[in-house]
Amino acid sequence: MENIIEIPEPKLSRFLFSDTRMAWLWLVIRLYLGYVWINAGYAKFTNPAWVGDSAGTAIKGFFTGALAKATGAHPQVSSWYASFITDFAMPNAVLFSYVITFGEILVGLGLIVGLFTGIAAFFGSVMNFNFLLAGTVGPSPILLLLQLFLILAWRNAGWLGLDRYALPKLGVPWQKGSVFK
Amino acid sequence: MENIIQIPEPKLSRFLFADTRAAWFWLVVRLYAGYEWLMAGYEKVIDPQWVGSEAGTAVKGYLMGALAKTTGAHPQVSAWYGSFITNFALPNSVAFSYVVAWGEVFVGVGLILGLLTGIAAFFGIYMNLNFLFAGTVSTNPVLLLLQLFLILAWRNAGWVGLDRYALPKLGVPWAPGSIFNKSNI
Repeated sequence: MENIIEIPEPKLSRFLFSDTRMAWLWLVIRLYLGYVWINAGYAKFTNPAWVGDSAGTAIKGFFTGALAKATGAHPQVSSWYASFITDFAMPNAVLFSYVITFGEILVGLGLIVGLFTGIAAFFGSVMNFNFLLAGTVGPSPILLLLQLFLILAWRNAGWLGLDRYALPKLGVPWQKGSVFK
Repeated sequence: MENIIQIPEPKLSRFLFADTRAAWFWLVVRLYAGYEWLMAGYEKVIDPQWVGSEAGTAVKGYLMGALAKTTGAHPQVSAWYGSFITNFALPNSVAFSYVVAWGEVFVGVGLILGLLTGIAAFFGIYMNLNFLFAGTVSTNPVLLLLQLFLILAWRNAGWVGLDRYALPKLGVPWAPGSIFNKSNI
C-alpha cells in the first residue's frame, strides 16, 4: 500500500458520519427531504399529464423549455445536455414521466423510513442534478446539498430507521451481511 | 467507541481518494475546473464594473436579476435567499464584487497549482452553490460535481502539484505536519 497517502480522518467526521448519537440530526434532514420528494411525486402521480392517459405531455413541456435555454451568449443549459434531451429524453418522454414520478415517491419513502438512506439520497441527487442541468433551479441546490451529507453519513443516517436493522443484515458488496453467512 | 458504526471503506474509494496513482486523473479535473475559474475571475478583475472605479455595479445588476426570480408559482430563487440578497448582499455589493472577482482567481490558481486543493475546491463549490441559489445555472452544476470529487480526493488530488510537498509539511489540525513537529529541530 505504498501508494496510499495515509492521513487520519478527523474525529468530527467520524462523529458526524459514523456515530449513532448523530442519527437524530440526519432523521430531521431525512424527514424534511422525504416530505419534499413525496409531495412532488404525489402531485405528479395524481396528474394525468404525468401518469395515465396523457403521460409524457408534462415532461415534454419541461424539455422544450429546457431546450429554449440552450441558446444565447450565456446559455443556462449546456449544449451536451441539450443533445441528451433531443436525442434520448424527448423520444422516451413517457418512460421518463413514469420513472421520475415513481422515482420521486420511492426516494421520499426511502428517506422517511430510513431504508437504504445513502442510495435513496444518491438517486435524489441524480434527479436534482438533472433538473439543474436542464436549467431549473427551484429547491434543487439545497436538496442536493442536504442529500450529499446524507450520502456521506450513509452508515448512521438511517440508524433511527430501518437501516439500523437492514445494513447489518445485508452488509455491503465488500463485506457481506449476516443473511449471506 | 461503541457508538461508532464500523463498516470498512471499499477499496475503490481508497484508490480514487487516497492513492497517488489516481492523482493524474485529478490533475485533468483540476486543470479544467481551474481554467474555468481563472478565466471567469480574470474577466472580472480587468472589468471596471467589477474591480475599479465602478466596482459593484455588475454585482448589483446580477443581484437585481436574482431578486426578479423570487416571484411566481414556482420561483427559481427561494425567499430566504431573496432576503439574504436584499439585506446583506446588495448593501455590500462593492465588497462582494472584489471578493467574487479575486476569489475566482484564487480558486483557479489553487486548483491549477494543486495547492490546498481541497480548500480551493471547497470555496469553488461555495461560490457555485451561491450562484445556483441566485437562480443562475450555466456551468455551475458540472463544476460543483467535479469539485465535490476533488474535496473527497483532497489527500491525493494535489499530489501532481504543490500539495505533494505542502500537505506533509503543513499537515492537518488533527495531525500537524513536519514544520510543527518540534522534535525535528
